[in-house]
Amino acid sequence: MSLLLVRIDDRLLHGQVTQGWGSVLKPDRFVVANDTAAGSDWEKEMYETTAPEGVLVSVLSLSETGDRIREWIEAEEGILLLIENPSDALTLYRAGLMFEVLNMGGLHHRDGRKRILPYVCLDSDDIVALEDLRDHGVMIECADVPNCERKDLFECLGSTASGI
Amino acid sequence: MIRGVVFTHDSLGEAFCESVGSFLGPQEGLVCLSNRNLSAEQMMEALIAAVGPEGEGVVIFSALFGGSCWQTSERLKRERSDVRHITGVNLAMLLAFMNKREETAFDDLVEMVTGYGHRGIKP
Repeated sequence: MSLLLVRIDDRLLHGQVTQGWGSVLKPDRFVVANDTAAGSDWEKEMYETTAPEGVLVSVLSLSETGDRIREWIEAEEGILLLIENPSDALTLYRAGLMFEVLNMGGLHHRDGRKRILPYVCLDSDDIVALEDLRDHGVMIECADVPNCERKDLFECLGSTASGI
Repeated sequence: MIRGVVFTHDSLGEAFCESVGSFLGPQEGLVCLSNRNLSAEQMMEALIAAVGPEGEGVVIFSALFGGSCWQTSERLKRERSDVRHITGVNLAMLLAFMNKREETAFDDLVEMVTGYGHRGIKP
């Protein structure tokens, strides 16, 4: 098996992921790669209790994510990986976790971020991290739900990028 | 007054509150909140605003166990002793809440209202 989906979603593991993507991709395990969540026993337990029947949930720090995922893939597991933001995605990639496609599933508005799609808002730091990933050959693909039209992030950005 | 917040995806909560009004007429102390286009952080800010300051108690109703509204509600419940949370909201549950909240102790209300919700589900 493999990394079935690497997804940026600032809500991490939630209904759209478990019900939408989970029912289509049928992963063996959801992995939440997030230092804040991994640092809280309460948050870890909360995510673990929401696992759909028959699916495992693991909440890991960024530093331990790559090695653990490689172990699970060698053990024939299908993994759906959740990352909070582009910076964390780049951190994982630089640490050796290779992926060819990065799903941009939900990055919501906050001060300084500009809306690109209803579910994608970016600031200049986000763009820098995503450009770095793109320059390493990673396709950044926007799709909040499995059956929507897939859009290349940088095509969506177009001339907007220079204004962010 | 014990207040209610219906916190759901998209316009589901709005529809629940509208339906409660069509059964019982205009009601105070029941508000709806959507998670549409909000980050986890913004959802918490919006929920704190909807719940308001500490008072006689607030019950949050979410729709989907494990969903982002459920998660945010559980996080706030952990921080606030005057907040309770029920997921799996249905109309029977909400109507019971509105009808029973004035005559039921806050600590008993969640169990009672959840029971009405269960009894509203039939195969």
